[in-house]
Amino acid sequence: MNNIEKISNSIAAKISSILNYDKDYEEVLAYGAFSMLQTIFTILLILLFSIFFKVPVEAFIISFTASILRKYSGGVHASTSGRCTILGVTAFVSMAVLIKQLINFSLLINFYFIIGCFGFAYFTVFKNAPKDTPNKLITNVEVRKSLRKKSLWVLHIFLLITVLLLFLSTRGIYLYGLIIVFSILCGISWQAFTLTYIGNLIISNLDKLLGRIYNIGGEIQ
Amino acid sequence: MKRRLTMSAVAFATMILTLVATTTSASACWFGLYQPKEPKMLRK
Repeated sequence: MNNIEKISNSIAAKISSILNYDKDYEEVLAYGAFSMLQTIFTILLILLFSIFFKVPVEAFIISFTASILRKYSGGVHASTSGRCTILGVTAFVSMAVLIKQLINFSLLINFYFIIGCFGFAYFTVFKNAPKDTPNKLITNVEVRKSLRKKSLWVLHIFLLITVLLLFLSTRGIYLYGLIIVFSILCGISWQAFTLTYIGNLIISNLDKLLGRIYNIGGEIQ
Repeated sequence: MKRRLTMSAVAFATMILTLVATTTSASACWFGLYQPKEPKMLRK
């Protein structure tokens, strides 16, 4: 059990003892506290590292794009919250740094890149979403259909934003738009990648590597 | 007065944590690459 889980459990226990809740409801409160604290902790770490590499806007757009899509599509998971944070922060900040290199290519290459990323995301989401985990199985067919539909809608909205920003940046009205477009592309591509077999394999192996060699990120529950 | 404030803070915290828990439960997963075990009460 890591520190976030210990804090979440103690908050839930304290509230339950004051309000006389049963164990089942205490579990719900601990689950909510854990989700909130884990999110705040990850956001703070992304902020810290992205400011260090001078890419805070890009890193946040990538992480929020990926997490909005992830909410409906699911994806591969790390075995502990600590490893999840390490992998997530590394991926988002690295992609944000990469964007500064990609942005220098010609308009035509950028255009192909946009088509490629959205093509990959649509194909993967349509084929593999929603991807569940042993800790949260999605067995209901109707729920699965609904989550896939919502994932595709999220992609439609991101496509619309991309087209709009691309139009504004190529017309010279809003030049920063291209950086936002690339951040969105990285976010959806990363999320789509976590839905694929190769993505699953790579992230699972990185997760094992962190656990075996350095024992980083706490013990598996 | 102090007890009233404490109870209000606890009620507010309960409301927020329940909301986060049910929002997390209603979707495929949450922000990061880790999914904690879902409580029994939210599985249905």
